[in-house]
Amino acid sequence: MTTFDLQTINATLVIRPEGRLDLVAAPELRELVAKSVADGIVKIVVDLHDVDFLDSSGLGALVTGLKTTRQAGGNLRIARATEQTLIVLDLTMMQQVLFPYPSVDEAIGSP
Amino acid sequence: MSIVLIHLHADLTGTEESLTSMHELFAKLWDGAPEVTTRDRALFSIAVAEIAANVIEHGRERYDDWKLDLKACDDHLEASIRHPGPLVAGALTKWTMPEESAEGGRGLALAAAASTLHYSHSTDPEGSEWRVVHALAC
Repeated sequence: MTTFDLQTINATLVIRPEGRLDLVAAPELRELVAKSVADGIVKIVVDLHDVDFLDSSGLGALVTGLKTTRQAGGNLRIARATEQTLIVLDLTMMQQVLFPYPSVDEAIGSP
Repeated sequence: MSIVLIHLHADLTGTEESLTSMHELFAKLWDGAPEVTTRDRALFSIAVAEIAANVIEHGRERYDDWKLDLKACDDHLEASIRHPGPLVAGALTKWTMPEESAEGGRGLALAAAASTLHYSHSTDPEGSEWRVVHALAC
């Protein structure tokens, strides 16, 4: 079962999924991003350090989050991608769209 | 001729339960084939998981059970994914990567993008089968 730890740092919501970000967990990530934007927090960082496995559904949820936040004037960034998640980003040619920041702080601080 | 290092089988049901069991089976596979590199493990498991997700999602209205065989040999990894009935409509489409802004439709394209993977499928009275073969660098 995937859990999501939430923390707000400098008006940015940091979402830390733990477990698989897959077909089962993707809908919850979409809901968390949508609720954050509805609450007025439009900058989000997804910390992937504890994601055991990312599949195309999880990647799709990240893309949905990116679009949702941008439409509200914010953004969604990813940080601390694991080797498996980097392979998925590479195979899908999504590293330009979802640039993997080495740390949460750098993802938050990047202009 | 390939030497089989470990062969595992599981009868799976449900979405979350079967995906959890699938990942547990991957872990057992790597226990039995510790020489397989992290990258080969990732490529193979990505491909198998995407096919499994496709089988689960497209078959949700028709069946709840599917079967998974995983095999590690000295020169390749192999998976067989079987489900009741014929291949579901649409299962063989969407092999190309969608545009960057697409929120879905990457599953089979992602599986196919893992370059040394090959797929075949057959349909007979027992059901349908997807096969994933991943060659290991010697």
